[in-house]
Amino acid sequence: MDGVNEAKYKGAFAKDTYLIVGAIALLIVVQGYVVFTILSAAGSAVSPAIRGIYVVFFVLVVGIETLGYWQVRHSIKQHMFDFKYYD
Amino acid sequence: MTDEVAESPGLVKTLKPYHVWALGVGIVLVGEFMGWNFTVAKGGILGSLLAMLVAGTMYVIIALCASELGSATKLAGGPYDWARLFIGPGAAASVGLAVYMEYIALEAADAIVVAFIAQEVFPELQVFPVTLLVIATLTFINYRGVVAALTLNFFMTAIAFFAIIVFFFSGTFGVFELHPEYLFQGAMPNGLIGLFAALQFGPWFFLGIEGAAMCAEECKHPSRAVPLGQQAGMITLLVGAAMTLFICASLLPSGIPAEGLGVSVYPLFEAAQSTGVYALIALLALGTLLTCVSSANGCVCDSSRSWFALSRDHFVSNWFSSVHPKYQTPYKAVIFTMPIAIAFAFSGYLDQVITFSIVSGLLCYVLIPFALLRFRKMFPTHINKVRPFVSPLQPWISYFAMAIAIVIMSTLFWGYRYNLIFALAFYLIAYFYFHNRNKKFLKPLDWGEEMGWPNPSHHVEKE
Repeated sequence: MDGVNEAKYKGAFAKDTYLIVGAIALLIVVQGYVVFTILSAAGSAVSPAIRGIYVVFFVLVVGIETLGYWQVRHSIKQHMFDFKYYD
Repeated sequence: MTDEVAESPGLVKTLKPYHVWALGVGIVLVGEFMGWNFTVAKGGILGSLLAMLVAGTMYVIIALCASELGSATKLAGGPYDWARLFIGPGAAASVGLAVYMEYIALEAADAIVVAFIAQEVFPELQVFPVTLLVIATLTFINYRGVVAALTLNFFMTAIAFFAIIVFFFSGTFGVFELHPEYLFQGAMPNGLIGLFAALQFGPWFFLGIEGAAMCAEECKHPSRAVPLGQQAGMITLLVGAAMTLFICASLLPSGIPAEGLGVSVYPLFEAAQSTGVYALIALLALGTLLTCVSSANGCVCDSSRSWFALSRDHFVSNWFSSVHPKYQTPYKAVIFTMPIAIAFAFSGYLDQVITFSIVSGLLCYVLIPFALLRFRKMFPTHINKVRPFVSPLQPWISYFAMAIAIVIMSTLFWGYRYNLIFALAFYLIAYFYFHNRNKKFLKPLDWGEEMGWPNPSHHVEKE
């Protein structure tokens, strides 16, 4: 960490974290709202088995993206000093 | 410091995460302004929702694979270079060509749509010269420099995405009246088969997001910029897709598949028109125009990088691999996008051109996860030098993405079977052609010299 302004790095990393958390929250809220509203409106047109497929893919798309983006944060935290990300 | 800025002199290394976001979202967002609604014609609102979720799952995984591979290899060729390093030369060249065709066909389609929009505003304009002007202008911008091209993309894409957000929240907060009954009336007009058939248009929501990683060689810190920018782009598209589907389905009727939302040319714009709110109509018209231009702009950038990478490795003439001494762009490859895009644009078969682009993309979506699986097998140890970003849940999600890509490709048999057969035959011939051509220039890969990496786990030193 020679020659690295640690305070600046922590501040910049916090901004990246806010971006990641904000994006994930927006994803969950908007996708959840739209999927729930459309399935509710469709009502009896969708059988429980078909409804299950929607739920599975909703969980997959939101879950994998959330894990993936959180992993990006982990990667940045791990390497920011080695690769001098914020200089 | 650092292995990050040492390799491959030539292309300028200045791009930041927001440029990566702008490249990825800029190319794709056009699919949320038009085209995605064909899912409604096939499977109704529920078909469209399923297509969005299934295709979204596939693209989330592809984007994670691309982020891991792009931040590791840091090369301009993207899927081409990943296949070259981890699969083999024939597959690599086929993927490089598929990426080139995917983006250049999309550029041509975007330019035509821009010309049609311009003609609607100014009826005296002719489509042919405006299309030509759009292609020539974007080629010139990309010739002059990648930073200017992608900064322009950032602003155009941001405005277009802002238009979707404003439209969505205006509807949900009651600025205009929504019609929830449309969601029920057009829920599933063609039954279960319609749900399955709708999958073939699901990629419209996200087609091309993997291209965000293709600017890795021009990023200042690719191992941060590529995953951060690309995943932000993927979330932007997922959010935009959900908002677009909801607001359009609540404003345009879709009870009869052959009418309304399912056949709309500009669904977001037409949905805005149905509200009667002038500010929203103007905003969505602007968004539609800008997203077409930014998509074409990003396509010039990505297709030229793919051609540049093919040229650098002698798969096509080495003449195209020159880097401009002043602007540090692959300028010959950039200029060469122009005649090919013009040829596609004036073939007169817009839907065929786009279908070819989708098949090319789907071929990449089978080979990108496969390249990642090979990469992890060859370099199983996670070390900073090789693999700075590690995507989660591997290898299972890669297998899953490949399966979804194959299923979506199979649905093209409904309506586009000859396009599918032609495209697959085209890439099969390309595979054997490039495999044979590569023998002339074949030399063993020196991982240390080319990538700065240790030898892969299966590597055996020759006596």
